[in-house]
Amino acid sequence: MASYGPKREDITLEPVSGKALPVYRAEVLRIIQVEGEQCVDFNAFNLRDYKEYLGVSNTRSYHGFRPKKGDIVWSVHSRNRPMYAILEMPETCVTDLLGGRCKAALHYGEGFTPDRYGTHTNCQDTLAASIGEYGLTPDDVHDSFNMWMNTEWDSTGQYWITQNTGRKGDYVDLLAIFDTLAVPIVCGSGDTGITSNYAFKPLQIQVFEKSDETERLVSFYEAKYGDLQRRPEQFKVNGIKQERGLRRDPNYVPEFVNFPIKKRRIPVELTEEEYDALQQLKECGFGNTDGEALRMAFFKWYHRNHRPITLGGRVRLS
Amino acid sequence: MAEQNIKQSKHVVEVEFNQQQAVILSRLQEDGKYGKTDAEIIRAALREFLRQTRI
Repeated sequence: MASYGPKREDITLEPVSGKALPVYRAEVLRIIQVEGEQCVDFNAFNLRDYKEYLGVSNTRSYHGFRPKKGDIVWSVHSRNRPMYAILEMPETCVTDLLGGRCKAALHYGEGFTPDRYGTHTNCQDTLAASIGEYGLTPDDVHDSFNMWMNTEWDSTGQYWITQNTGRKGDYVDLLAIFDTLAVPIVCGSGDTGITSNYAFKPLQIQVFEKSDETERLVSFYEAKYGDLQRRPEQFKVNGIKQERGLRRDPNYVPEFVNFPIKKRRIPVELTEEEYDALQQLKECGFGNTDGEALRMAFFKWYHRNHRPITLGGRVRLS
Repeated sequence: MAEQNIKQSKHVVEVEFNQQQAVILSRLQEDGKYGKTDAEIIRAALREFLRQTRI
């Protein structure tokens, strides 16, 4: 386990609440199960630019449906930077990138409507209340990186939630790769749902200052990933809109990457034997034409043998 | 060997590559292992793919 600096923050989140708190570059956020079996919804923002926030689908694209110890939590596709490295995460912490976050309407069927039994606790509202401390609004709440949330899915695309496997004392350590506003909250749907095994429990949140080792880890990520995405200032329209309504700019001319795509035909001579094999590939679904099948075979070969490994990356702990 | 195979060729297949796909061909060309022209590289890739997949 990596060594961290001194603990500078130690708070308890009572059900159902949350807290937005800065976690600076090379600091570690620790989320602890006080009693166990409590789902945690997690939002995070770049402390210097809230338009960069935790990217659930981006993280999913790198690490699949269940990020785990050693994986990276990425910011949104538009910025595409490592945001946190998961330094510690027990196997009993099942992560979820499918559920987004619960909202009040999920509980309408149970009678929790504003005009009947009132609003049920829910993560959208808890996150909104938490980030309000920094001037952010309910619209700024984004899909959660869910920890101790046991979702399962099948090949038809259905997903569902099963029993929470979190244990008392479990903790997750997230190393901030840049200055962040971290927002851990107690999930609000786990009392009438299985998410938290039908009972809310508190969470403990700690922040550890940076150490030489965490600084070294962050430097490693910075050197490894550098700039992966064109920055907003490199685009023609890059100022954040103040006006909320959308209006067309009739003089706008978009600048798409490599537009228009140009194609050229390459004649390739094949032997009878190769051509016969190409026909077999077509029968196997490689394309409708000889050219399509040949291109498909080329790129399947290329991906198998030459394409660089994607940037998933694992933490290298000393 | 490559020359001999070309002599036996009986089919010409036209394959479309866009400018980005062509970059991959150029990089493989720099590598030099698969041939000097785009066509040679594509053909070599097909042969290798067929060998690897045992089709």
